[in-house]
Amino acid sequence: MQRTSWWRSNRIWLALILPLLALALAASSFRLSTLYLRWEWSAPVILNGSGVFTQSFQDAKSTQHTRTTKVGVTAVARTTTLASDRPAPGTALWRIELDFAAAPDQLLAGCTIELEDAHGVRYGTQGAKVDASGRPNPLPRKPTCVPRDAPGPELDWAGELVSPSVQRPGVWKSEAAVAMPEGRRPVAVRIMWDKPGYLKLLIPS
Amino acid sequence: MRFTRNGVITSLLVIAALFVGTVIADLLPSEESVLNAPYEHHASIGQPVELRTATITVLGLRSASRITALGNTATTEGIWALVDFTWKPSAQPVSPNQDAVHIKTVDGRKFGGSPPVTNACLPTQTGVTFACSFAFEMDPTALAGAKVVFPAAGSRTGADDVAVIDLGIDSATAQRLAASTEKVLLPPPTVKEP
Repeated sequence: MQRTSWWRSNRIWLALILPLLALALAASSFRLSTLYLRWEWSAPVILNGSGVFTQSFQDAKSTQHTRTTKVGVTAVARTTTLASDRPAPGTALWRIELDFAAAPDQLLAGCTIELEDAHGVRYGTQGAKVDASGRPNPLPRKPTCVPRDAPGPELDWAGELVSPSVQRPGVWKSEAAVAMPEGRRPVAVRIMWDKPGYLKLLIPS
Repeated sequence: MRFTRNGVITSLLVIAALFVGTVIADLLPSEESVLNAPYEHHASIGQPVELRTATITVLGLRSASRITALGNTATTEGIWALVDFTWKPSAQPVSPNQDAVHIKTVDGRKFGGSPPVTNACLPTQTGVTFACSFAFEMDPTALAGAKVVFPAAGSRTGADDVAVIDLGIDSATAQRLAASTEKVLLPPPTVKEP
């Protein structure tokens, strides 16, 4: 009888044991993904063919910046050669043409351009290229998102702003080539500046 | 102090429980050892290993007394062990981290790091197989039974997918490799035709 009395008199707290335990665990935990996802390409801005991309980012001195640009895919097509690049055996060369429009003070230098297929697999611009004699090209020319002769403002390794000597035009075109394995087709162009956000332009069919 | 029967039994039970608990705690792995343990895939020469980031197949091992790459030459008082392998990235164009790849020997030593003459396996492309060679400066007496360890590309710690390839070196092969006076030109990474 005494035992029954103890259970009855503590029934409310006994019922609260499990919910309170869950709350205690939650209070002493954190979402691990918030720590590592910002260091991955985890926040795509997906646009259909073209659109405006705006991104906030920090430089090496932790100063906040914002970049805004209008980008459009004008062409993604197979080609046999682009400049001195040819596809290695078993691959096909895809030429990418992009239109850019941005204010001359926007920090747009230092991007990476890739193609993505329907399974989300990424293909870069550097690998599987050979020269005219079929020799591997160990240092292919990296494509840029800005005109080579007028790249606009840039940040150096220390986060210092390097002002340009020539003003970048308001509109320009960029070109890139990706050697993809035969039989694979790109469905999107990825343009990446600073993690975690990046621009994913779906290729118009 | 009075010793009652129940008191003595309780004391003995507590001591026994502490003893059993200590033994179990010693046998169980620590949280750190579990979190930092690599996930090893064991294979032999010629067997492809599918890692998290790429598929790797070690084709064979050669040795040399002198290696040359990109116009630079390095000799050694030991021996240069050259591992020929293929590398096929699976989801993005990554390359093997040459600083993290190493040869581990039977006595537990590791040989690797950045060699003075390097021929990195890059640039690569997703879905394309590249033939590459890495050079390791080694103690010629440590070749027998050695294995080469390839971590998945982009690993920041050892706690990741790791391929451990047995190079199949017996004593006779080790003696032959150790005696090599070959001078080898390391080839650049080339695409293997499908």
